[in-house]
Order: sequence, then structure tokens, then C-alpha cells
Amino acid sequence: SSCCFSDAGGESAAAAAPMDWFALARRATVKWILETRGCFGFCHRTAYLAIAYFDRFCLRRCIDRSVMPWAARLLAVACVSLAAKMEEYRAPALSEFRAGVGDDGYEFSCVCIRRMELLVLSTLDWRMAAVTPFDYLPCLSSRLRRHVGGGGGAG
Amino acid sequence: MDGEEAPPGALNLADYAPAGARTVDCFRRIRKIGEGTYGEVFEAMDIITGERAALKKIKLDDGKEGFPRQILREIKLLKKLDHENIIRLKEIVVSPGTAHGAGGSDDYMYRGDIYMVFEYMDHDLKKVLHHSTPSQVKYYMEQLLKGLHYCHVNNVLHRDIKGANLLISGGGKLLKLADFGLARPFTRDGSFTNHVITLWYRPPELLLGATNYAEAVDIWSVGCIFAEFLLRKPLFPGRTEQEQLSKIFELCGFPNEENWPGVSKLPLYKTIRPTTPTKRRLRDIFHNFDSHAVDLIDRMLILNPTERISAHDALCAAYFITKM
Repeated sequence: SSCCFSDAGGESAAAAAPMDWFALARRATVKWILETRGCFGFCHRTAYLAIAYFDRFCLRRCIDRSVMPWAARLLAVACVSLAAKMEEYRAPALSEFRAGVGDDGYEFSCVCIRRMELLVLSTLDWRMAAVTPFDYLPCLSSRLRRHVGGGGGAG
Repeated sequence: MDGEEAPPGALNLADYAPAGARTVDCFRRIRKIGEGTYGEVFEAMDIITGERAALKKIKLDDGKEGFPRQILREIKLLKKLDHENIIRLKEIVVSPGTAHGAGGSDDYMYRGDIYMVFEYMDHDLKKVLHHSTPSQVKYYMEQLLKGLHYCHVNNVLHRDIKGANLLISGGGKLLKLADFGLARPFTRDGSFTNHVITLWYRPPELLLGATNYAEAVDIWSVGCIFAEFLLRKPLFPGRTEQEQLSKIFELCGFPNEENWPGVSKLPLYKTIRPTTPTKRRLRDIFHNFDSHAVDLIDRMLILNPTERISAHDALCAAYFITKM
């Protein structure tokens, strides 16, 4: 019951177990998000946030397996778009998500993406700021530097 | 694409707020109280609790942008800021989802509205800016600086401090900063747009094209408001950016490398020239007022942003320590 991607019946017994197809869908999504990050030149934090939104969304809502895999892709587009708006100096227009990224031919209208954005926002209760490991990097790296510098005796 | 795929119209996410989420139907609309960049503001009453609230409707255009970035950032900041002198965002509600047309194909053409629900405040500061008693002024200024200090400690610049964005309630007892639509988090080396802050309250560094600025931009605006309280009219009512600068220089003197190191490197410095050699004579126009108040205004309206007083130091100024 904790799995919110529902496997709408009728599948043969040989079909993958629910957790398996969710794991596959998630892996494909993460891959797509990371590639998209590279295409747009976003910082890593943006990709991390987008994946976090995706995971939190999946914990709270059911997506029927019959609308996979495109629903997962639409969700991923909305998550990346929101994360970019939160983090990036310039966020791409929704139409830019159509061309270039991925070669599997998914094309969502702007209205459709925005609709999904709203669904993500309300599902996550509008809590879009998140602490990521990247927030600790400057602190850790400065400590490391001090440590290395303080070592003194090297060389 | 495999056969499992369904057309977008069949997206199994018909309602776009989670089941059980509150919608705008939980409120009874009382009256329209204002108009913002992104839509109207209404006074409304929570039907269940009877509590009054201000509902800011966010217009969603047919946009290429999707959900507006500015609103997203405003929500993020408001969720982070929790202080008695900062407006509280209580919740966000949507208008209930009714799909347009029975035809399945335009099911997803749904155009919902989003409402930000704020605590209700009686009126804005603009209304009392030109007729407040000295003790009220001190009370407002203290709360304004407390709210702003809290923002600055949390690395948030407000960037649009003006009468209309400062809200008053409790019979003039309580002031809160509102409208964080232009606010943003800052870092020490950040570079921003310089097209912020309403002209009359805009500091010289922005008018000169600086894109690397800090808390001091808000303090300038506070200084202008403080002065307006005493004078009962705007201090620098410029109509153009050019005129705004000349009005500032007329009272605060002309900036040069001596009183503001680095000013000559600002993008628009070369476009300005002193009409007459001007000396700072800001204090002259306040000769009949409380000297502690004038001292503080004088330190808020220093041309060089790095020398301008901070919100914290302003709160420690003699003006707030002396009793009326």
C-alpha cells in the first residue's frame, strides 16, 4: 500500500512485480532529468531538487500504470521546470522542453505541463524549498581547505 | 512508443489538488481591496472559522512560462520567513476544478486560479504616511526595521519597500512588511537586475545602474519613508530616473570617488553631471524636527551604500532609546 504507482489489473502473471516497474520508471526518469540538466546547463542542485520533487510526488499520489510511461515523463518535465524556476538564473520556457531533450518523441503542450506543475505544487503542499547535500559543500570544502592548509608540514 | 500509451486527454489526474485540499469555496468573498501585478486582492472570510483573510488571486495566463517564477519565489520566501512584522501566508488554495466542456479532448484545457491566503490587515501605510504623530512614527519605524532586520539576517532583500507594501492593523498598533514579489535571496557576490524598487524610494546605486547591491538598498527606502513621515510629503518625488537622481544629489550632495569610492565605475555615472557644485544639505530641510530622528535619517540616506546604517544599528540608535 505504500507503493503509489498502481498496477491496473489484467496484466499477465509474468508481468513484473509493481515495485519492479516502478523502479524501472524511476530509473528512466532520473536518467532523463540528469540528461536534461546537461542540455540546459543547469546546476546539479536543480537536478537534485527535481528528482526530490518526483519522489515526494510519487509517495503521495497514485499514477495508474496504464498511463505510464508518458505520465512519468510529463511529471519529470514539470519537476525540472519547477526546480529551474526555483534555482536557475534563467528558467526555460515550457516549449523548450519539447525539442532536443530525449529522442522518444514525447511532446506536451504548455497547458498540459503547467497543469502538471500545479498538481505537483499542490501535492507537495507548496513546500518547494529543500535542503540538499549541495548546501553543505561550501562549509565542508572550507573546512577541508583549512585542514589541508593547517597541516603545514606538507612538501 | 508502445501500445500501452494513452493520449494525454486521458490523464488520470483530473482534479489538480489532492483530495481533501481546501479550495477557494472555503471563503466568502467580501470585497475587492486591491490590484497587484499578478491579479486582484480580496477581503474574504473563512466560512468555517469566521476568520478574515486577504486573498491574492494569481492570474495564470496562457503562458509559455507555466506557473509564474516570481510567485513561486515569493511563496518560497514567505514560507521561510516567520516574524511578527512580516505578513503571514496562511495557505494556498485553488479554485475548484470544473473542466470546461463535456468533450473529453479539451478536458485538460482546465484554467484554474490560485489564491494566496494572507492574514487580513486593515490598511496600508500610505494612508497614514502624511498624518501620523511623532510617537506613532517611532512605533511604525521600529516595527519596519525589526521586520527588515529579520529579512536581512535571513539573507532576503525586500527590494520594494514603499507605503503600499507596509500593512497596518490592530488600530495602528501593528505594522507588517508585505508583497515579497520582488524580494529575493542574496549572496555576497550575487548580481541582480537594477529595475527594482518604486522610483521615489530607489537608492542612488540602483539609479546609477549597479547590479551588485545588498541590504543597503532597503535601508535607503526606509530612510525615504521616515523622511516622508516627518515632512508629510514625499522626499524625492522624481518623475524620471534622471530627475530622481538630481533630486537626490540636490539634498545629499554630488557623489565622487572621495565620498563614495568606486562610484565612477558604475555604468551610468558618466551620464550624470553636477548642475551646480552641490554640498550635502539634507539636514537643513529638517531643522524643526527631533534631532535624534534627523540623525537617523541622515545615516540612512548616505549616498555610499557601504556606509549606510544597517537595520540592526538603526534599531540601536538614540532615536529608539529616548522616550517621547
